[in-house]
Amino acid sequence: MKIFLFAIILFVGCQTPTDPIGVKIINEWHYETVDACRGIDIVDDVLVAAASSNGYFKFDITDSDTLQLVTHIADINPNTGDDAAYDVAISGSIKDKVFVLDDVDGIVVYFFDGSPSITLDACGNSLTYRSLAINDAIQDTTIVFTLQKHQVDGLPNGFDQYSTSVGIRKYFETLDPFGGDVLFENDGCDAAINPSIDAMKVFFADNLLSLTLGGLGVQVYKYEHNSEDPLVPWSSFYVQGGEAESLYSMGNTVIGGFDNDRGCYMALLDSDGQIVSNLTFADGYSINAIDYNGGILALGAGNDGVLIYDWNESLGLDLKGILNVGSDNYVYDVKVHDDDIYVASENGISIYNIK
Amino acid sequence: MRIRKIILILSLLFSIINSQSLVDRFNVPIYYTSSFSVGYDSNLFRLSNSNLETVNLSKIVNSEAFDSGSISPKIQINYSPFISSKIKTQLDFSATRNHYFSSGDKSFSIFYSQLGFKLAPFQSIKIAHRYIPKYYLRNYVDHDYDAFNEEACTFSIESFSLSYSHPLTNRNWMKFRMVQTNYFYNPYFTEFDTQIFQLEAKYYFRLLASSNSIWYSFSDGKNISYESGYFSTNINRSYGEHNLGVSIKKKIRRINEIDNFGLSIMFENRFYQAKDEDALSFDSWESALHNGRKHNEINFSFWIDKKLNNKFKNQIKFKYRNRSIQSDYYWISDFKDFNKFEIIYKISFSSDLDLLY
Repeated sequence: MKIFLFAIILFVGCQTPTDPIGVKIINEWHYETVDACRGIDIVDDVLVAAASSNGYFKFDITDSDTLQLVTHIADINPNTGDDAAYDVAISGSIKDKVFVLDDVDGIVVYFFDGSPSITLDACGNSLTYRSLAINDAIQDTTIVFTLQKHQVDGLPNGFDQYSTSVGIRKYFETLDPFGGDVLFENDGCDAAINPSIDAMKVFFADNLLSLTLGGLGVQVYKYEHNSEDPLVPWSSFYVQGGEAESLYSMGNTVIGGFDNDRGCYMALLDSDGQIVSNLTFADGYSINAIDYNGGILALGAGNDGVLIYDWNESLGLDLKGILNVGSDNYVYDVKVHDDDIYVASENGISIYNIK
Repeated sequence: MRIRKIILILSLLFSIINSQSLVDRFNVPIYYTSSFSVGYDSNLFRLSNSNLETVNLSKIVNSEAFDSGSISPKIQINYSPFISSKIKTQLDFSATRNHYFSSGDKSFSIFYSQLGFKLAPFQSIKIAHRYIPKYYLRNYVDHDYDAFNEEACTFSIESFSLSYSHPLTNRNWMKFRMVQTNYFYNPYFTEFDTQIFQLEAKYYFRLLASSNSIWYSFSDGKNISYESGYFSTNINRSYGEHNLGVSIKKKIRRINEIDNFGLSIMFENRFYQAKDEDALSFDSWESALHNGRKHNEINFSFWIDKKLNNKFKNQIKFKYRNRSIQSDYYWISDFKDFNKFEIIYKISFSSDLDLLY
């Protein structure tokens, strides 16, 4: 009788499919920017994009699955013929604006309220910018960190030839004493530190400024507002065989992305900047962009697409899968916003609504 | 409570109508056959020549070698309760374990159960269930998870079948069968999940003092995870498949060492439904892999057996399998063509249990 019952159970077997591993795309949407999209930034319902020689784009993403074009400025610097937008950063302090970085023609600021745009003054005499980062944490002030390359002439005092500098500009609003208009003023560029020529990117969050230094890895500085030396060397790390290419930090956690398939290094710093624990991950990939939001850590991996991790904001990390953005579509930048992954790539901007 | 009452009343009625008590009808002998096979498989993972020449063996298969010796214990139970004098009921159950010495991962178990109702000579209805909980194929890269590292590709196979046999003249008969088979892969490879519906017609006949059969079947394999949101599911892996086979079994009276010999040949033609040339534009070699691909397969087997006494029987079997690929992309055959052979020696023991009788 037992055999009979066993056979009945077997008849009722009925396996069901297993839940797949990977990144499920609920919906996707693409916007062709004509030239490669090198950088994007998102704040609330606004997305801005740097589209190389096709200039700067601003989109409304209220309907998160689509991009509604608001502004497109193809020629960000009418005085030069080879102007190109390589990076963008939104600032919401004082008034909403975007900093658009042209690597050889300076940084242009566009105001969302339609005020006339301005171009940042040079730091030293250098207009050869490599990267920028924003600190909006100080009330009524926008602090802009710029990384620029120096050669021989016009160096900030005491700085090395063929090096870089991180300049700090503080922007605030004043009333024009003559016309009564509100002016967007700054107190000039303070070249605070003088990294080597290898420095390529800066990232700022929670009072930590991180800097990529090629084969030397990542250098972390603590920002001390209104101090005479506002950038205090804080920590550093490197990965053997790889050059630091991307950065992300949150609180006391700093993540460096490395090229040459060396993946990422995550450092958890204590209150003195010492690395108390660390984690290497994404080994086998070259990581050129990092972003995090709401438990999802996204890593731009060039031609390999975007790696998606579940991250608990400490050292707990689970690979969720690869977001494949198609072949011959190099990923330059990535942002996580709600359940959407925004990808800036060779083909333009792509939005992936993931589970 | 109400259902219990109905069952009780029906049981009583059934007992009254049939003079033998219901319990007695289930007290019949249980017959069992146990067998043990040893064998050799020349290409355990069905690898192509290109794969067989690969240096990094452990990367593509969890094994020490491409070939392997094997052992297969099997137990089969037949139980025929005497429920009705007009319809013979038979319940069959078998469990097999195939163990390969060079790869523990490749080893697998098969559970089979069948409920048959014999209505008349050569006329029966059978319901069957076959289940392989885990079958290891080889290692592949899961393109939804990692671009470089291989994961073990495993799946379960479960099939349900319903067949009807119908007598023809001169002790010939036909069998019609429909089978629903589910291939459900592990979480890394669910893009290959397939449900196959198969219809088969098989004709059994006697010719030149041998028992023969010829059959044809068509299978419709539906890739149920196609376009389910994961990148790897952008490729439709659905297919259709024709199968044509013939088998012969003949008693040998002139050679003392052999009782029977048999052979079977089966031709399989599978054609993948994806024929979109544009599929190549978005990605990779894997699109090409299924794009309009066809494969032809030949399975040939030959066996002889000899009864040693009333309870023991032995058999030796040779199997050969060859698959060739037709595709617009010449390199695909480098990855998918294969051939292999197996030699199996089996000894079986049949007896009965008086557990119920």
